[in-house]
Amino acid sequence: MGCLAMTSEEKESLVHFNHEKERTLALRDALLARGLHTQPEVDAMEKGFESWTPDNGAALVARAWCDSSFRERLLDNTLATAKDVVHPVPFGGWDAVALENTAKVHNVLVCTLCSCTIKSLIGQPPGWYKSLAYRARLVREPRAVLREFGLELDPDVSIKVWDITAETGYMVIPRRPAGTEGWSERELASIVTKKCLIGVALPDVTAGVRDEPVSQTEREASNA
Amino acid sequence: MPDVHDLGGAGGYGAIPDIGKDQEYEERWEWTLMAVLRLGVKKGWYRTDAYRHAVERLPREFYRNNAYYDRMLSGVTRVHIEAGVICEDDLRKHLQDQVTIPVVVPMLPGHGGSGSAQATRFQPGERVRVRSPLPEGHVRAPGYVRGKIGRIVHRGRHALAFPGRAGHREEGLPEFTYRVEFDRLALWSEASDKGTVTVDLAESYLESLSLAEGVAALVESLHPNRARLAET
Repeated sequence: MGCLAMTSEEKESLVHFNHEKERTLALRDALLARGLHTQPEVDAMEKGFESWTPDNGAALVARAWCDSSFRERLLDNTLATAKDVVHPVPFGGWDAVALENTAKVHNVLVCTLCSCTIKSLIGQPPGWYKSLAYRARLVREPRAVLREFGLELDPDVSIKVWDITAETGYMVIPRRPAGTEGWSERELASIVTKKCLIGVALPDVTAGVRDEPVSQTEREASNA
Repeated sequence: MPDVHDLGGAGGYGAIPDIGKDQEYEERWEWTLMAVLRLGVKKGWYRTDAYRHAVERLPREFYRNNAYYDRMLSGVTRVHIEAGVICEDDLRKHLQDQVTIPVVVPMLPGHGGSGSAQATRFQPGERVRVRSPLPEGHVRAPGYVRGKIGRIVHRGRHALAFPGRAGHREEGLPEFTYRVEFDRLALWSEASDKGTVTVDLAESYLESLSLAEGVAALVESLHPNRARLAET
């Protein structure tokens, strides 16, 4: 296979090379053959994952940016408050805590022991988050790691790294960037990516997806 | 002692791979794997901690060299076998001859915590030390904080099955966890960045400081360079 000739980065980039698909389906089929699961059960569980996306976390951030009392409630009890915005709340038994960035504090997440993530709000963790290099390096040299992501923070900004080691996950509330005044919640959510929620990127105003402008006729009709 | 998974602060790692790629799924079978993992927890065959501990017991070179989904799949497979719901022969019926089922280091007996599901021992703002050494087995306290002093920032909202029991398929008392914040310089004295690391730790992993230690820790936190200068 030539594994020894590869760099560690190359090894980490190869997603599947040890019959993973066959072995996964064998496990499923062995369980089905014993009558321990049914195919509809497996299908329903798989389908449930579709709602676990970073759109959920982004919607919470956008609401927090627009509504300061929502923001306070979100910081105080993230799980209970999220239910105002995310329907249904697919939390899988975990608790969630939102962490707010300020002018002087930048929060960033990792699971050094495995790859835990609050999937229902952030989505499935990407390969880089699960990599041995990220798990090893972020806690010890976060500024250098963030630089690799293209994020250069001012030296007077304190970096708080959060290591997810129990059944509570985190999501970062980035600071609302300048140039978004008057934006709708949907427009604001469009600039909050998975990387922003994990804390390795800041929202990019130029990537915002703006709402379709309302025509004069539609505007008059809705005002009538 | 299986500790290859305990990576926080480990040296020798280079650039973060695949930074440009946020999409986390390549193929549908990855969802099937997650579904099978979660269904087993839902049906009470094993807890998530037991799955994590199975992954932790993979041979070191396997853990370091094989792909993420290979580690995950190997742990999910092993936790089903250890739960007794399937055996290796069941799997072999669906596998080509040359495909091997990864083995793991045998599981040690578990260990209990000293916490209680009702009482909570520590308060936000209090300084505590992470106990060291901690027992072998499934321990959700990374090596880089063991023996270190940090400050409680908040108490977890729910009591959790203690990892030393749940990871070993044993019953035990649940405990609250605490988010404990550590100054990075207290963890790695040569660290170039002065920020913090916060870790969510079960009550049993923590111990109170003596009065003298508490004062010293407070002074250290206010003037982190003072203690180092005093030593030189």
